[in-house]
Amino acid sequence: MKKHFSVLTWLLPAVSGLIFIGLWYGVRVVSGLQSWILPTPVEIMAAAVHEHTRLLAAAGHTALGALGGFLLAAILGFFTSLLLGLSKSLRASLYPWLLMLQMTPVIVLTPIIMLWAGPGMPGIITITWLISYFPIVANLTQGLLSTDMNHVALFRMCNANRWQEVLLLRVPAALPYYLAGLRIAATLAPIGAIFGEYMVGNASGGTGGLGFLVYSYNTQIKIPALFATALTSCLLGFVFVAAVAWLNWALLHKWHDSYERADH
Amino acid sequence: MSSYLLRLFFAGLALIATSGCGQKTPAVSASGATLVKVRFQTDWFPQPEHGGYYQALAKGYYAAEGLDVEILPGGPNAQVMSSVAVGRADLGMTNGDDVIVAVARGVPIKMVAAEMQRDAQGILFHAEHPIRSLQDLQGKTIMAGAGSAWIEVVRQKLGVKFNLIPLVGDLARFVNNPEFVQQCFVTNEPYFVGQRGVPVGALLIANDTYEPYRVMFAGQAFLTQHPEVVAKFVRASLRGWIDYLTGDPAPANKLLAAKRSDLTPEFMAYSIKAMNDYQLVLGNAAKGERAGLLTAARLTKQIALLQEIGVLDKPVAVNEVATFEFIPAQP
Amino acid sequence: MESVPPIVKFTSLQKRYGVGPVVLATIDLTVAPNDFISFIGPSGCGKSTILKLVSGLSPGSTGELTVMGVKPREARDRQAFIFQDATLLPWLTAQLNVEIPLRLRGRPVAERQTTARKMLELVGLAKVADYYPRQLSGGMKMRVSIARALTLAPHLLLLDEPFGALDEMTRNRLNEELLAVRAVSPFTALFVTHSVSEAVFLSNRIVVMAANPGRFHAEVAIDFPYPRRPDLRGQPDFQAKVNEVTRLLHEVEIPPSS
Ligand SMILES: Nc1ncnc2c1ncn2[C@@H]1O[C@H](COP(=O)(O)OP(=O)(O)O)[C@@H](O)[C@H]1O
Ligand SMILES: [Mg+2]
Repeated sequence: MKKHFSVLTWLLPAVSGLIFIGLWYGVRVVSGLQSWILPTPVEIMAAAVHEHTRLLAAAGHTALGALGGFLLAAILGFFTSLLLGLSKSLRASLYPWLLMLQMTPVIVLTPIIMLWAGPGMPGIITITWLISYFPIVANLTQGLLSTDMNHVALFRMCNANRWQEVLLLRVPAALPYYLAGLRIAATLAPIGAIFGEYMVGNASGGTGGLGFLVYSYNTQIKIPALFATALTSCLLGFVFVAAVAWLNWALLHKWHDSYERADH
Repeated sequence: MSSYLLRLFFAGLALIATSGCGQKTPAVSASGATLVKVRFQTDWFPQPEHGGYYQALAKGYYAAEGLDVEILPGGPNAQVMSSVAVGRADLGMTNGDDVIVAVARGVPIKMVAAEMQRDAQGILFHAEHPIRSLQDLQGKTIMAGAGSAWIEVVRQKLGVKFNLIPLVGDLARFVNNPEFVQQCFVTNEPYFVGQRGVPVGALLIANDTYEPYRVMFAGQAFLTQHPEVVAKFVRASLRGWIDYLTGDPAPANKLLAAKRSDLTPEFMAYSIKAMNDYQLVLGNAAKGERAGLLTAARLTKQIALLQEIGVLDKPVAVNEVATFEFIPAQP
Repeated sequence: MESVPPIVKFTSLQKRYGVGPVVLATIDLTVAPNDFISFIGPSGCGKSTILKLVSGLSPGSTGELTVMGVKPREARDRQAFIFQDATLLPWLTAQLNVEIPLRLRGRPVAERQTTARKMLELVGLAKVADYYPRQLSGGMKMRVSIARALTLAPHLLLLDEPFGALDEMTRNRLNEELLAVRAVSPFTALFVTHSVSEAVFLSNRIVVMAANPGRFHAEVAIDFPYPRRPDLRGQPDFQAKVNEVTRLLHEVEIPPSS
């Protein structure tokens, strides 16, 4: 039964994918559209192969920006949440402003980011950070506030000081929340970096990222390469999500209920 | 915001930028053994439209003047003027209209020379289309950047009525629709469309009524403190431009290609040819134009026009906008 | 016996939470060393509140309460609390959970490990020291919780319905184990339960409480000598005590009509 199911989990997406590709070819043939309007998958793969050095370099550049912004968000998000989660008055005075910043579309902030952080990598990292910061803060703050009251009572009974309560209880208890925030941030970070490259990139250092390639291929009307860029972006996103999923597994699988436990 | 407040704001930012980056202010050495560091901000990714500066760099014209010039690549939302105003760069280049408007709003910058005698903006159309002048746009639909000054000029001064659709940088649309008309740079898009085998035409927007410069400009503070550095920069840059457009452009092109692997020799050759064909940089000698030349008369006319079409909400004096002391005499 | 100072002494203690209603009305109680007192009564009558007062987690309103001669908070080092659910930290192994009280007091690692190991052996769980809580059954978790509470050899143990969530067989076995552990590592116990037979089996004193406001209704002495053996439950004396407490409970649950 279980085996049957796992075959289906492979088979169904494969079938639907094939149908989709078939439809794709169908539309192309029936409509008579040219390759630079609707390239076929084969043309896209060919473009990807032809442009692979440029795509890889660009993906590396984007990964750098995404990682920078992501790590910044993870670190700053951690400390912001500590402040918010542990002090009622700080929470009351800061949270509304954080919410306001979150409500402001990053695109509106772009000129300001450009002015303050500067073009290129600093701006890209700032945008990535802005986009991936709030899910982390929101999740971790929630986690720090959700500590089991009996655990807190246990620590109080042991005369634990404030630091012990934070480091040995509240933070580890909030770890699954933090990781949930990081998972969301991991899907957003590459998007943020590409968006950042598109908005404030300057292709310095001889290679722009995937966001730069969008400009480049677009002005050169290399549409299959543009699709290949989309595909590369997608793969980069998967790498990020997979990395955080691995981290999540490594830190939680032994004790957290979100992972199936081995029956001894 | 009043221009005073804006000045204050930029002064504050400049303080932050300079203190934050720990950047050195240039110190001119008598011996010339050490070069003076100059940061020059461009408005887009490296491209042949910046070729003159790269040529000056590659052929050592800057070094010969005792300058160590770093050309900072731009990009979308490059904010060249703000970068220079806050001291992240010493000089920059951009559209002359934008400098006029920025100066009027209190941004502490000033034009020091022309880069192009006229802006490279143009109208891109299919060759079969009967567009030979701006008057032919009457009743057409054009994809163009909303808020571009030329749109108001053509509408108000030339009395040409046309519809606008927002500029989404997507040439595929143009290629696919023979009726399509859109804004372009004559040095750029026509090449890529032509590569697709589509016969195109491009019409320069600049005309006798509306003829914006592209300019090199400096931050006020830098200008006051280091006028001799500005003079050297302008001199070497113009030398680079003349050499790039009339001599062998290979040194600059090599630098450009190293910075952007997507720039092909063919495209760069096309861009250079367009800059020459449209007399963008070297100008029309018959009209008394030459590389680098800015005239008070043309700027005055331009300021009045911008005010008339409502882009500029208050007058600004020519000598606030530009200084003419660095413009070389007849070559 | 008169000369030994009481472990816990309530003197006309009254408790209300904030400006809420009176939760406990004038409690007077003296707990002698080695008493095992069970509190039994309808839900909401203030049983947990009594333990919270003794532990210093919640202050009294009027009256006086001393624990081992000092204020409750000051006696924390000599008491431990066992909650209804085992309150193990799920990210720590059984061993590390047991180490927590020592760790919070900054004891050296080596001491922590040997003491925790010894406590786990005492409750018969040395084999699962490296298991995480979710790999343990309900009864095992509660044993770990007991081991944790005993690491600091407390004089006073507060237990709030510790076995309430377990099936009867497990509960009976844990009752026996608790008494066995107590023989090795003696402590005074205040024990909250809903189970009459559990109270009779464990305690030397049972306090039956009434609600609205919470107060002491009656106290029953249970004189069976320790150590108590499982077969005590089958004896008529035992059943008589169970019946007596049950009858007292009925009095407070269904108020006599006047
Ligand atoms: N933290 C608290 N704040 C306010 N009221 C409380 C609090 N804890 C308990 N109470 C109230 O005190 C009364 C006694 O509660 P509790 O001691 O938990 O009873 P029991 O354990 O006997 O069921 C109940 O009415 C309950 O609602
Ligand atoms: Mg209770």
